[in-house]
Amino acid sequence: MTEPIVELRGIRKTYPGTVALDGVDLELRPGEVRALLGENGAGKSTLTGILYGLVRPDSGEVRVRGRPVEVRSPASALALGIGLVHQHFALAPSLTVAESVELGLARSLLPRAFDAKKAAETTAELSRRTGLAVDPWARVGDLPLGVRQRVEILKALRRDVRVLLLDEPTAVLAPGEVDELFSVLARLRDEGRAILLITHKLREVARLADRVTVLRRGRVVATDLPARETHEDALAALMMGEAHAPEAESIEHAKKKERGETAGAAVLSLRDVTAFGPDGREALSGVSLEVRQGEIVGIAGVAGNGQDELYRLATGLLAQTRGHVELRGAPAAASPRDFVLAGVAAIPGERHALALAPSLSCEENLALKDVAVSRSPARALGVIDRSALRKSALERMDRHDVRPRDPARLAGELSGGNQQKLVLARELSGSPPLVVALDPSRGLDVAAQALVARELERAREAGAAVLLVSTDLDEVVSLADRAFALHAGKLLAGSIPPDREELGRLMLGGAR
Amino acid sequence: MTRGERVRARARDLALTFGLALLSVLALGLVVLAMGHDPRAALSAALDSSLSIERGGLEATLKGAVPLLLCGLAVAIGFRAGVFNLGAEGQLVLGAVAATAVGVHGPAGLPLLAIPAELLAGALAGAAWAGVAAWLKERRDAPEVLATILLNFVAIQLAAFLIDIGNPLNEAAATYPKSDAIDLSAELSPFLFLGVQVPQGIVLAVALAVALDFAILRTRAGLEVRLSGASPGVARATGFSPLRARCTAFLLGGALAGLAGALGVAGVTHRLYRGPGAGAGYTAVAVALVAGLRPAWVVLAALGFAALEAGGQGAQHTGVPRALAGAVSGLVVLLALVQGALASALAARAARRTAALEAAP
Repeated sequence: MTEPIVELRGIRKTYPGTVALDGVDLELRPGEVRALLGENGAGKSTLTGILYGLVRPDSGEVRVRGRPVEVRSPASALALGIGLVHQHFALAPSLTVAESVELGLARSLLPRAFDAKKAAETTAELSRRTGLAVDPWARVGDLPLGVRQRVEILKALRRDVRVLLLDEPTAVLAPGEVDELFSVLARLRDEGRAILLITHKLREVARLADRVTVLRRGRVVATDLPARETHEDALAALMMGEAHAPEAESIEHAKKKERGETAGAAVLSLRDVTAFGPDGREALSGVSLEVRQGEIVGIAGVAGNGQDELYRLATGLLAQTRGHVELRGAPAAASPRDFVLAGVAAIPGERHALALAPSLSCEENLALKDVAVSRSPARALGVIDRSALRKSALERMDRHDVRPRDPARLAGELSGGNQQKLVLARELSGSPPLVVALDPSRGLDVAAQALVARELERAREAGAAVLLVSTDLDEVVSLADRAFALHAGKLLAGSIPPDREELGRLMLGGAR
Repeated sequence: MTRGERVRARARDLALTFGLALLSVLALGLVVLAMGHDPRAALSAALDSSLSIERGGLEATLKGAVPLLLCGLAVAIGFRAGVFNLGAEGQLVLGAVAATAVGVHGPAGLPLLAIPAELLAGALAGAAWAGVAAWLKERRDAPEVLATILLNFVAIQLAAFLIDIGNPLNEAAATYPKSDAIDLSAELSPFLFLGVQVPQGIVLAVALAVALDFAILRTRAGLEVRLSGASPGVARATGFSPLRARCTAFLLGGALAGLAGALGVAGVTHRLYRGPGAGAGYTAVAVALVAGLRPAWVVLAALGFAALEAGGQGAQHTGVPRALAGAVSGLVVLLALVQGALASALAARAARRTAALEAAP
C-alpha cells in the first residue's frame, strides 16, 4: 500500500458549548477515493475546514507527506497541494471561467496586465485534458450549477492539487451530472490523486469510494471500511447510532391509542402540492399529506430536501405552485396573517429569522401575534394596554418557566433555551388547532430538547394536529405517531409505528 | 435591562454626548485663540445668539429647531422601519412649494382656514414626494438611499425653476428668483411666552414628537414599524406586514418633512426663496442618530443642533469662521456614532455574559 499523503492524528475542535471533533484520525492515500460519511452536525464540515485551513484545531496534528504541518489558510493548503470544492461554490459570478480559474495565481509582486487570451487557452487545454467541459469565455453567473462545479474543480486542478476535498458535491447536481462528475473523479483518482468525498448519501459511497470513514457526533465510529462490500444498512446504522431509549409515552395517549381514538378530523391537508425554493428550483414535488387532530405526524429528512418549504407552506409563508393546501377543509391562501387568525402555532428552529425579535422585549415578543390581529392587549385604535401586556406576559412566562422572569428584558438577552421557551409560550397558549414545528430543538441542550418534546406531546393531548418536520431522526421516531421521510422534495411514507432504520434508509434516498 | 434602565442609559448617552461636545468646544476655543481671536468674546457671542432671552438667541434656536425636529422625526421613523429615507430635504422643499402656492393663491382672509390649508398642502406634497421614493424602492427595486438623495436634487431644482423670473410662482416685479408673498392671513406669527418670542411651529413640532413617541412605543402600528425594521421575517411570520410598515414610515416621514417646509414658509420667510431647506433635511439624519431614533429624544437633539447653529452664526461676528460651528456639529455626530457603537458592543457583551451564566447549571 502507498504511503498516505495526508494524515490527521487526534484532531480535537470545540466550539462554545459543543465538541465538534473529538480525537479524529484520518488518512488519505494517493489513488484512492475515501468517503467521509456522517449526519448533519457530525463534524464533517469542521474536519474539511481544518484540512483546508479555514478552521484551526484545538489539538492534534496534520501531516502532509509524513511531515507535520500547520495549515493556516486556504493559500497554505493550496501550497501543500490540498484543494477544496465548496458545497456552496466560492466563485465570483461576474468573472469569466478563465478569469476564475486563473484568479490569484500571479506570483509576481508587480501588477501585470491579465492576458485573457492566454488564460482562456490554458483553461481550454486543462478542460480537454481532464474531460471537464467548459467554455473559458462564459461568465460564471450565466452557468448552471453543475458547470460551476466543474469550474471549481478546474480551479483546484490548475493549482495541481494532489488532494481534492469535495463537500457534498452532488447536492446541487441532476442525476446525469452526477454520472459525469463521478467519471471525472474516477479519472483523477487513476492519475494518482487522493480524493475525499464528503457526503451523507449512501448510494454515492458504493458507486465511487474505495474506503469509508464514518463520523458520528464528532467521533470516528468506523474507518477503512471497504466501500463496495459494506451494506447500506450497516453504514446507515453506523451513521445514526443506536436508537435512544424512547421517552416514556404519556399514559393518556397510550390509552387513547389502544382505543383507536388518537386521530380525529384532518386539520391540515396538502394534496399533490408542488412548491419552489428560494433558488427557483422545485423544492417540493407532488406532496400529499394529512395531519389530523390528536396526532403527531413526523417528517424526517436530511436538511435541504424541502423541509423549509414544507414548513413555510404549512404556516402560510409560501404559496404552492400547484396542488391544494387546506386548513380544516377550507382552501388556505398563502397569508401568514390568515394562519395566525386560524390559530396555527409555528415553532421554527431558526428563532431569529421567523419567530423572535431579539431587539424587542419579552412581553412584546409574547404578544406579537395577538397584537397583529388586534386582539388584547391591543385595544381600540391599536393602542396597546400596558398592564394587560405585562399581566399576560408574566402568566405565560410562569407557565413555561422562562428565566429570568422579567417581561421588560430584551428577548435577545435570554439564553437560547429560554428564547425557545418564549416562542413556545406564545405559540402554545390558547389551544392551537394546528402546531407546525421545524427543527424545534435545534441548538438546544438536552434538557431544553426534552421540554420541547413534552410541549409537543401536551399539544397533541389537547387535541392539536401536530406536524413535526425535523432533521433529527431520533426526535421524529420518539414523538411521531406516523412518519414520512422527505427526500429530494418527495414524501415517502414509513410504516406505523415509525421504524427508525426504515426511515433512515428512506431519508437517504434508499429503498424501503 | 428594564425599560427604566434603558431610559437612564439613553439619558446618560445624551448627556455624555453633549458633555463631550462641550469639551470639544473648549478645544475649539484654543484653536480660536491660536488664530488670534478672543475665545471668550466668541463664546459669549455664541451664547448670546443661541440661548439668551434678551438678545433673541433663544428665539433663533427655537426657530431653527422646527425643521430639524420635524425632519429628524421623519428620518427616525424611517430608520425604525428599516427604510433609509435620506430625502427629508427634498420632501421639505416640496412642502414649502405647495404651502407657498396655497398661501398665495389659496383660501385667504380667514386664518382658521388659510393656515390649515397651507400646512396640509405642505404635508401632502412631502408625503407624495416620499411616495415616489417608496414606489421606486418597493416596486422597482431601487435602493432607497440613492432614490431619496437623487429626488432631493430634483425637488430643489423644481422649486428653483418655479420661482425663477417669469415662471408660475415668480413675483411679477421681482428682479431675482423669489415667489409672491403669501397672504397675510396665511402667516403664522410667534407668540410671547415668558419674554420669549416662541414660534408656533415649535409647539406643533413638539406635540407631534410626543404623539409619535407614544405611537411608536404603545400602538400596534408602532410595533409593526419597530418589528419590521428589526426583524422583517419575524414580522411577516407573526401576521404583520413589513411592506405596510415601510410605506407608512416613508409617507409619514414625507408628511413631517413637508410640514417642516410649510412651517418655514408660513412662520419665517412668508414666501419661497431659493433653497428653503438649507440642509436641515441632511442635518436631520445626525439629529435622529444622536437621539437614538427615539422621537422624544429627537426634540432635545434638534434643540441642541439648532443652538449650535445659531451660536456659530453669532460667533461669526467676532471674526471666528462660521465653519467652526459646523465642526462642532460634526464632532457631536461622530461622538454619538462612536458612542453608539461602543454602547451596543458593551450591551452585546453583557448579553453574552447573561446567557453564559444561565447556560451554566
